[in-house]
Amino acid sequence: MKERKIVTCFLPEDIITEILSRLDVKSLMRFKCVCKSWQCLICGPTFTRMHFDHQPSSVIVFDHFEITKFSVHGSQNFGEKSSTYKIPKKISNEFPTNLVIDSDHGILCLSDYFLHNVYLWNPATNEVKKLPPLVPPSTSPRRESLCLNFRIGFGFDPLTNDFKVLGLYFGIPKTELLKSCREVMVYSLRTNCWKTIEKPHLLSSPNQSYHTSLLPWSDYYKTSVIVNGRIHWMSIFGGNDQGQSFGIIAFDLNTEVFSLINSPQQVKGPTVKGIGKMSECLSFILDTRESIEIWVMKEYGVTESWIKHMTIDIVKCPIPRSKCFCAPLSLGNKSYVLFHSYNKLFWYDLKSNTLGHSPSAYSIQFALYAESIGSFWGDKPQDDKKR
Amino acid sequence: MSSSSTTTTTTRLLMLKASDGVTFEVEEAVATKLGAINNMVEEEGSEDLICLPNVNGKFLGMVLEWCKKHANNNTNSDKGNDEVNKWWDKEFVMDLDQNTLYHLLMAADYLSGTELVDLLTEKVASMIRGKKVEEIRETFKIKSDFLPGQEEEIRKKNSWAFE
Repeated sequence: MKERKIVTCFLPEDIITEILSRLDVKSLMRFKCVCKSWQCLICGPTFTRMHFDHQPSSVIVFDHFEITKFSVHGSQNFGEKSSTYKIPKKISNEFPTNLVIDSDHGILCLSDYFLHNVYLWNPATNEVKKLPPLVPPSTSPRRESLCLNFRIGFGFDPLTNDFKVLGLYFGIPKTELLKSCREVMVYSLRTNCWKTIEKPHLLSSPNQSYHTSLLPWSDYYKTSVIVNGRIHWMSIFGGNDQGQSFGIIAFDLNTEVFSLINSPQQVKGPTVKGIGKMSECLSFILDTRESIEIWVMKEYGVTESWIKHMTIDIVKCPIPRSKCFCAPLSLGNKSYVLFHSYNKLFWYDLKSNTLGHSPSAYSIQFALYAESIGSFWGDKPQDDKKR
Repeated sequence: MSSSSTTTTTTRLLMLKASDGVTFEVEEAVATKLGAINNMVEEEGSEDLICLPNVNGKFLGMVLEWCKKHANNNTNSDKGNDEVNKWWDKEFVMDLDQNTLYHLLMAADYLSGTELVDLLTEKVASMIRGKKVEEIRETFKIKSDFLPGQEEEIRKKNSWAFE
């Protein structure tokens, strides 16, 4: 091996990189001042990724009674607030109630109820970016049609180091208004503009009643799950009572192509309570009447690789039988099912069989989150557009 | 070696020779916790003496001490082992002075002791977390090479991080 570049009296650059990648964002922002080589290192995209990979994942929770901040819950002390992030005034002044679209690679995507304003926010650096308007005002549908039929997705494309937001209508265009909104809009942070892509056949087939699909969209939940560079929504389709099937619609953030991930054959649509992410795998939760089951797709995209990961005895299980959205997820070496009941967010620890809930609450939203030092402005000089 | 009826398979001994000539006799299972030695054993096969010209005896000894503890703890696969290892790791790095820590880190890195490198980098990180810029320069003996005004500009842009 060649001589390694020594940037300090003691340690070679790769060891310094290892050390710095374990630090918190605030320290790193300060250490940009140490010397030029540290500044270059800390600002580089490779370091950003490496640093992100070292960050413990947590769940970020937004409570509508405490609209100025998010609380962050780590794997060890779920329920005891470990820290909070204050929502920048820039965002909270414009709309008091946020929809958490999702979080990926340290960036949170927030929107108002009318989906007119979409923000990207890095809570760790407090950098904020407002997206250009999503829908031209003339075609902007009424609120109710939006809530029922509209989805925004958000995620990071690791291949191009780009963040993308997509907006799409799932409903059958019953009204003239919706007919005019048939496209799928995709925003890229790199280009800083929206473009339209054609709605895939998958989402517009008249035989499949998608208007009942992509459950649930209440005001409370982010319903998408990011795995493998793709955004996923659960979907129930196939028409009437019998023969309804469950599938997961995936949007590839790199190729911008939609696909359908089939469920295991024996799983029927109405019994699925939600999708989530367990140990980096796509997962869903199922109510079979006898038990609650958690399924995991071991090999991404391979239908045969769905396995029953866990069965929870219905007698012991605190998860409500009624219709409620549940998300299985793993944090560090723990796994939880998060669900919403009586306007509270509950977290059920699958290992210790313990149940916790939010203190007092109304419409609590959550997303998986880990800190990142990534900047929206990339390597470009950061001009006066400051927080 | 005890000849009791436990499942001890015949353990091969390796001789490791440090840069200053100090030698260590170590069980193969212990030494191969280090990626570099594992590779040498696999590639060269029967060599029993391995020369390590980039590590001196003091630090090689410390690295091997760590390997030994971890190899022993891992043989009996009790549930509590992770805890034991963690506790022991904590003790291991607790009183290291900065100079020893850096040299040990270099040695562990050279020997590809991934787990040990992780432990030591985490230790250094915990020592510099939250520190001031000046303290970092002092710790790593770094001289600022910014032009006049450049540093102030970065400070101004990230002023919240200095509060």
